[in-house]
Amino acid sequence: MPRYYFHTENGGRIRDDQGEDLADLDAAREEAVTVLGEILRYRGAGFWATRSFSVIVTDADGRTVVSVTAQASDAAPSGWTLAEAGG
Amino acid sequence: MTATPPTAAKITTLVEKLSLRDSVSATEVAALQHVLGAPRTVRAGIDIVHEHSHPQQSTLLIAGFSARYSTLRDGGRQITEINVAGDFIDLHSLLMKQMDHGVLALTDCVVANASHVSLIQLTEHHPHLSRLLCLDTIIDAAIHRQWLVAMGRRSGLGHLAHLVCELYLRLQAAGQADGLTFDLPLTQAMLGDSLGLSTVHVSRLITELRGEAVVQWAGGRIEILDWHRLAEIAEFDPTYLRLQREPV
Repeated sequence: MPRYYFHTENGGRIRDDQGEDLADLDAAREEAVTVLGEILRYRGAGFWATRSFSVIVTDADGRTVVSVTAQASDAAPSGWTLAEAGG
Repeated sequence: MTATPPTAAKITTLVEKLSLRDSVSATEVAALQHVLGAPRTVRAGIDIVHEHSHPQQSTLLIAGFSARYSTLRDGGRQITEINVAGDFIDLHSLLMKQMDHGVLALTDCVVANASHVSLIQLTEHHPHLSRLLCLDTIIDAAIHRQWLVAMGRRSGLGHLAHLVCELYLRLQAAGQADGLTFDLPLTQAMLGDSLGLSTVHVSRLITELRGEAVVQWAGGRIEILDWHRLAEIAEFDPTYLRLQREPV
């Protein structure tokens, strides 16, 4: 099984030197989203101080294979309007 | 290779723990010795008790760490309690009959069996000892309640700190701690399955706890440097472990 490394970036950077053996890239994607969700869960309003949180996944050769980012903002995502939000 | 302890030593950890809660007479100690068979070793990674099995005996953990667990179809595993030396890992099978979960050896374990037939006799001849053993299964339920609260509502750091506080007090109760230091030879994946968190997150949380200078944690050994602060991070209330002496 390939080994993937899950680094994080939210102002400060934390490098993962240990890595985790996972079945394939999809398993690495799943783990990346899980890690993002777990770490963000208790960040609370403090998340607006850094506004961005990313999990960057690299392979054994140090190449980035995927990343996932959550953003906090005072504005809506570009192009979003309440009128078109449905409901 | 885990050494198999002599028969006389096999219930020391159990008796030590029970004695914290109420006095255990020499007759009761002898009765416990009597129901337990010869110690045997179970290798790490092997099921001590299988989910859905109908055990004809209950198993006492004499040395090592085991886990009560359930698995989901996608392979996800949740550990619902970590058992330590001196715990009867499936005393409830005496009355539940069929196991609703499995018990896995997390490390090499030494265990001994007590047949259900002999345990039923013990309940008839030693009612006080039976109540003390029953209390142990009640405390298992209390541990599950606290794990549920932690799983649902504690922050990752609080949850990990809570687990460290709990395991320390339980190991200490069984005479398995050396001052504020104890062995916890579990992988981060095992801790992740206990906390319901990813290995990556667990690794970070351990680094964070170390960074707060509340524990030293290396090579499967933990030294609590600041119990007060650790308990504060965990919002730890030891009531559920029922470690005070009150007659049952």
